[in-house]
Amino acid sequence: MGVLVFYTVFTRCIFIFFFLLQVAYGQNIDSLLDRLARKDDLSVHTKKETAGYLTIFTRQDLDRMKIKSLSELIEKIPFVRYNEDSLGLSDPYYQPYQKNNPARIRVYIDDRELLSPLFGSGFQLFAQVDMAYIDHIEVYMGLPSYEISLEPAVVVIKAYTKTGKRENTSVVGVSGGTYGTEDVYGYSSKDLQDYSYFVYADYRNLKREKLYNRGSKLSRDKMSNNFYAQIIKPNSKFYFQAIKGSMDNFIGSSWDMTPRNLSTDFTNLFSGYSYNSTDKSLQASINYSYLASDYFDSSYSPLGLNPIPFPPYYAPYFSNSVKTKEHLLDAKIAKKIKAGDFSLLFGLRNRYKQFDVKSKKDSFIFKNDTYNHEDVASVFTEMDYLFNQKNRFILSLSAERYFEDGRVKSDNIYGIRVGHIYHAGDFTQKSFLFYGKFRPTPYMLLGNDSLPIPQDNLDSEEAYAISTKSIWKNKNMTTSLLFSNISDKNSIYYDLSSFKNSNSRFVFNSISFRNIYMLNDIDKIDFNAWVVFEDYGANSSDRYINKYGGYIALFKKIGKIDTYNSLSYRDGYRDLSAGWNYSTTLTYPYSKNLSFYLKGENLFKDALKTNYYRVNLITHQTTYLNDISVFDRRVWLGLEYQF
Amino acid sequence: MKILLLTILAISSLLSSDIGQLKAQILSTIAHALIDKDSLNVCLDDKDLESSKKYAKSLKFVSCNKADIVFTSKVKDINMKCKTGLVFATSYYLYRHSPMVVGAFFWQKGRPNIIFRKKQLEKLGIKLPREFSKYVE
Repeated sequence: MGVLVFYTVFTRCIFIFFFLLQVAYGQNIDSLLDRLARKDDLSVHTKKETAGYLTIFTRQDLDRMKIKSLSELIEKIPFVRYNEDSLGLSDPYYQPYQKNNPARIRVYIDDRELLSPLFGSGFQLFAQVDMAYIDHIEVYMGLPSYEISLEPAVVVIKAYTKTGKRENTSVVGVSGGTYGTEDVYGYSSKDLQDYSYFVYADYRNLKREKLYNRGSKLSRDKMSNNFYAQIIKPNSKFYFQAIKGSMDNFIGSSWDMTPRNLSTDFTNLFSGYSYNSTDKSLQASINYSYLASDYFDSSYSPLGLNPIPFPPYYAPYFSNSVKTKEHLLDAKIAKKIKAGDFSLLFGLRNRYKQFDVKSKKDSFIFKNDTYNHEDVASVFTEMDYLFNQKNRFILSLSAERYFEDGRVKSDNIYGIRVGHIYHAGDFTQKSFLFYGKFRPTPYMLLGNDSLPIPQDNLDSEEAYAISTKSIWKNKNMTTSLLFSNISDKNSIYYDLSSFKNSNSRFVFNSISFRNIYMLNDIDKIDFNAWVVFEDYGANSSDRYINKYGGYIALFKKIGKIDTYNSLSYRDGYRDLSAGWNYSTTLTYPYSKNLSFYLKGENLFKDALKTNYYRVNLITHQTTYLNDISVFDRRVWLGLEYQF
Repeated sequence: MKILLLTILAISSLLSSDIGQLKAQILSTIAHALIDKDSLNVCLDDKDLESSKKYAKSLKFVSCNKADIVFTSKVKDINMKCKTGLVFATSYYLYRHSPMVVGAFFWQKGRPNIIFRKKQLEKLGIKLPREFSKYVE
């Protein structure tokens, strides 16, 4: 009897103790579901830890931020400062008169690269459009594995779409924002046992702050219609995407920043099929992209000079119409073989790029008849050896042949990446060595090829990188410290007549610290601080530049209201003032099916600013447009209804 | 005994961090909420939940026709062999297309979700603990 009483009292005490612990820990079925949502996020199944230094924005993060476009996330990526070029397009590395360098940031949607055959990276296509069809985003820093991205890049952004299997619902969202911005989207998705589907459509009319110069309106408005559909079967996936829209191109090429009529209409179509064997050992995909744009620029001041056959042998032009049509056929197959602790990935990829450019500068007509396609054949391999339970070694090799058209020289590009990962308990150390080349884009090659005296000797940029990251992880906290040294040779720049390689070697030494502290199953504080010490060589007037940045973000549920607060900082950029961006989102679930949200961006109106200037080659006057916010101060009010 | 069982569930849930453990914990919680028995015979027929089997210590995994409760995503399980126990769907499709299913554990809008079918609960005379009431529809 005594034993029974003791047993009863003991078990009840234990139960009460753990019940109280559960209460303190928020432990119930809700809490279990919250925890599973975090632990079994889709990114857990798509991320590749050995591929590089990874930052993940999970489905929950994006939902709680009510993310509107990829540009918002750029300020969360170390060593990168969001910026926009003179056309109002996103370009974190924008410099006046320089062209977008695609080797810096590349974007993938699921496993297909968003690639502009002419301009390179598809970052500009994706940065300011809607994102409600995206589930989560993985950012790989520092020249990641060829399995992730065959074309080398400093930052690779992989956006993964929502899937029918994880959505199983229909949703409509409506929001309005400052300056008259409107956004309406809806999607329907279902898991139908043998297959799942996801269909999405969005209309967005993004209105930006207007600027005026000498009576000319400088607008960066963008309107887009986006349709995306996918069908997923256990081993295969088919998708189709169409984006059609128009945008105002801000300053354009106007020498005095006095545009009269300046806009681009665009139509982008993407379609593809991919196969993945059940054991994931065989992957194959084929993707087709069609990008068409119609750019028109007319100005009160000259846009450029046309050659004429009599003195002074040039004449200014005031209107420019450029129509481009780009086709990309991208096929890839990769096989992974595993033998004990050793695995070997071997792959082949081919990208056929065709581009037609027709421009009319006043009456001067140009057509790219001499150079209109590029074919890239690639072979790559990755060896992964688990030496013991703590040490893993990785070796990646790639070789690419660029078959060029016309006078442009074909080229071979090689890359090598060596990695070591040490993992013991709560500690992980990742280290990588990298050597690779960044091929100039067809746009750069075409520019040099179209000169009166063609210059077809533009070399690829070369990069060497050594980096290491220490990660400490326990139940509630993840802390990491990253060091990297990147050396860049043959850097490409535009000298106002042609693209050239720099003689200087650029060296970037970087340190980044990050700490994520989980307050409970869903709430967290995320902190990052970084510094880059840049050396542009003895020939540079500003040889040494130190850049700083970071952010602190708090995701916290207060009662029924979900809150997100973030403060980001960037400083040290040449001629640019420091930027502080405070953003917040409040989400109120009115019912199980209906939620309202209020989102504020750049609320202090002290976020990143940039400077633009234009030189009039006839009057020799320079026009400046300084301290222009690249993030508008904007408030969104929206609702989402789930059927 | 019931208290001991709940205690074990509480302890294991506090310690669980692995996905398989969490899924096992959720299945256990659902099963014990539906059936007031200390030892439950469970049939699990869903490859996405297979990893949870080794963690669900309070459940005994048996074949479909011996189970107190069947967790499945397959229509054929309901139509053919699993007629003895409660059926709890692990896919929304099965829940929507099989009125006899008492509830479902599935992903919706990017997060895991559970639903209990009120009509079926009433028909079977099942009264759920209060914390589940918001999942009944």
